[in-house]
Amino acid sequence: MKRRAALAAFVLLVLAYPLMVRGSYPLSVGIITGALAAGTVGFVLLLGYAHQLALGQAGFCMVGGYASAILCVQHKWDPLAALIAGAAAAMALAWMIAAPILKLRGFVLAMASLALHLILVVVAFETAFTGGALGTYGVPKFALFGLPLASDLAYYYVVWAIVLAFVLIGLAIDGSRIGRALKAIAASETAALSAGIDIRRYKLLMFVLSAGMASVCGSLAVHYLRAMDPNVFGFAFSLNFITAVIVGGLETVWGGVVGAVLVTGVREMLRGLSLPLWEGVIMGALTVVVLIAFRRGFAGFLGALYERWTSRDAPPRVSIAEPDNAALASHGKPAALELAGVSRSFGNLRAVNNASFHVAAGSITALIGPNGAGKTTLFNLICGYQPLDSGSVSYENRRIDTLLPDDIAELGIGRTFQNLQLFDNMSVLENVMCGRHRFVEREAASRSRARAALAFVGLRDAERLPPSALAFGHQRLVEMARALALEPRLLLLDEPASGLNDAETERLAELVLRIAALGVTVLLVEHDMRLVMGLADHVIVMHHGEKLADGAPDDVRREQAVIDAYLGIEEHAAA
Amino acid sequence: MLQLERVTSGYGRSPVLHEVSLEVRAGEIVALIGANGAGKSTLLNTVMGLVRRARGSIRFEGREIGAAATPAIVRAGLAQVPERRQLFGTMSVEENLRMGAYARHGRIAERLAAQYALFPILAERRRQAAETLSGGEQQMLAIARANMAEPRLLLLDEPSLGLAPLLVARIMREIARLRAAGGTVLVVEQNARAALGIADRAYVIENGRITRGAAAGELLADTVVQAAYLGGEGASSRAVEARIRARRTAVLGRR
Repeated sequence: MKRRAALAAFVLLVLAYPLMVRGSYPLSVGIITGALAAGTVGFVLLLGYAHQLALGQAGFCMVGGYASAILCVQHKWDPLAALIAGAAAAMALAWMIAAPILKLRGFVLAMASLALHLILVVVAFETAFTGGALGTYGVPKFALFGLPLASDLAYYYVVWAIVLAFVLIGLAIDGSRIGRALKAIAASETAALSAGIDIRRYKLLMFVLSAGMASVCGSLAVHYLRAMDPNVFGFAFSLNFITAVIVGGLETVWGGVVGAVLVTGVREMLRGLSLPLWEGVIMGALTVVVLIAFRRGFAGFLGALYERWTSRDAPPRVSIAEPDNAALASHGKPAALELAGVSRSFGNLRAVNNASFHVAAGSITALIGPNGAGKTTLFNLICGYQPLDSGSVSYENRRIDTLLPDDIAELGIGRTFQNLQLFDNMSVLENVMCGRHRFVEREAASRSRARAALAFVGLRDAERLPPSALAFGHQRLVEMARALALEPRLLLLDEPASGLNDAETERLAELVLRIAALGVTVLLVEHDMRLVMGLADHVIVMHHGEKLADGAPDDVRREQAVIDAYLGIEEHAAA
Repeated sequence: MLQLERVTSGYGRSPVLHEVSLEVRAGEIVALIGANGAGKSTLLNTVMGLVRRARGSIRFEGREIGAAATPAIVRAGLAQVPERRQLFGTMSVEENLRMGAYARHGRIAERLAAQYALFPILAERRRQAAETLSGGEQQMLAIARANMAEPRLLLLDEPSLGLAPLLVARIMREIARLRAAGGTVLVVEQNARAALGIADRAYVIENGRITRGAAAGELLADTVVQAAYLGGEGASSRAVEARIRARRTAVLGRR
């Protein structure tokens, strides 16, 4: 509903604007705004969705601008073909610089794109085919399929039709598994990996898309300016992009449109006042005011207004529903896991030292030991979050110790986290839908499978809430539902009972049994000995990174070494 | 020392706590037990001013603090050890402790020494990054960090969370020692048995309402409380384990 209302308002405003103004000047402002919006919509995909900052977005505008100018003037290309060629070149360039560096964390993309921009400026100044410092003049008006657009009005509508197309692309991404994957990455990369999401791939995809859209922005502007030189898209233009999307809002592509309108609108208004000295100061002050007043940007503010206007009652209180046993079908054959001589050190600390054990297919195996014994590190090694120093991990007789976490998740290894890793920027249902990422399927299918997983853990009522609205123990269940949505054949649970009271712990035990009955091998780290000794077929005891004992629960609990290191007197007395 | 009278609070438009009244007297350990989602953490957060109280009165040493901001509440003499500890992971143990003294200046060395005396293991690890400590040590650090503000009342949210069985007993002993050293503690715990074991009095919270308030021993012996929070009748850990095993045989058909 909200989406339709926004689209209707957009189309209406775009159509009505030329009718409301007189003369050519407002129309030219409309065209320039549209050209900028084409680029800023793409920039929202990069900065807002993929959380990657690029400081040299104007470099891609230059690629588009020069492609259109040179191909149309010197080679008499059709403007539309030149625009597309420019976008393709910009995307190829974006892929070439980003593919190698996105492995690195931090601000590498911001700096690399800035460097690319600076190089392009130098090339444009110093080479002959660009026209050097003087630039290329006589760029024709834009044309559609050979038909030149004689009037500015026609061009205005073409520009905004392209903006609409870009917005629709953005909205399609937003509502798809890619959009969900991006939100997941933004909220928690660790958890996104556990759901089988390839982080680098999606960041790269957004960078390439945004470069293409920036290039189109450049082409559209050049066909209006009718000339291209190295100064048209300078560093200030990149800053324009950043200002526009931050002021507009980073949560949806609408932020890009709203931001472009605000930035050009305010600037033109200030220009009308003819106060050249104050223009920059006022622009800066307004930006800061918007940032303070509307934390989610102007588009976010409009969205919140709409929500308040149409809001329903507060969400209901969540109670644990009766878990639905029939909600999930059997996952097929459970898988076995084998560790041989696994070691991992952090500096001087030997977190895991020469650990070898077997997790039998279909078993419930417990990994116990004092805090700091290396249990969670073992989980991270199995799931590929950290590399092994030596040894091997085999899943279904296949080495997996060189694979990345998302590839391991794709093989059907699900996990939960000791310190909960949920995506707080999505509803509970969407969180669980992220678990479906490895299956390429229709959204409706994803949704119904995710609902089934929620029903299985007994959280049917919670699907529309953000996870943060749930109690800690219920958030645990959301994590388990997300891991189950992946249809794992091996499930790793890291302290699932912590934060649960006794009654809840017994319910959890029942849930783990029902998961095992689905055909899932379960490996769990847990401190609650009632749960461990009651559930497990096999218990592995870790101490100081080494395996201390390994065997059936009743044998392990009698070993003096285990009692001394971990269980303590009480358990011993009870035994 | 702390009195809550008919306090209603929550997030957004839906209240989590309904007309909650409770009292903590000087020198006591008071436990608050209840299921997940009952409102235990919300209650602590409301006292600390992290969640806005909608109605009711919160008095600390006779002064109304219901409308005060969190830093003012800390200066008034309250400190909270949050659920999941929330340490500054990359900072050293000592830096974490110094952060705890942030709201109250002066005599830092003396206060550090007091905490190192209380938790000698932290003195050994003073230069180590907090994230490299084991779970139990992290919990001790979280408590010591809160103590650095020299609170007259300490609020503990799930101190046993994620701790090995040996360490749960140890942390509970440390909390009991705080009382012996003249401290007052309000502790929220899922591990109701452990909390009731050290508490003087306790309250039961259900769906945002206080339903019981009594001496801890009385609640431990109460069959209704046992059934709801202590693993039911015959609640020894062996009985719980046996029940889980029986369910395992029923569900998986093994042993």
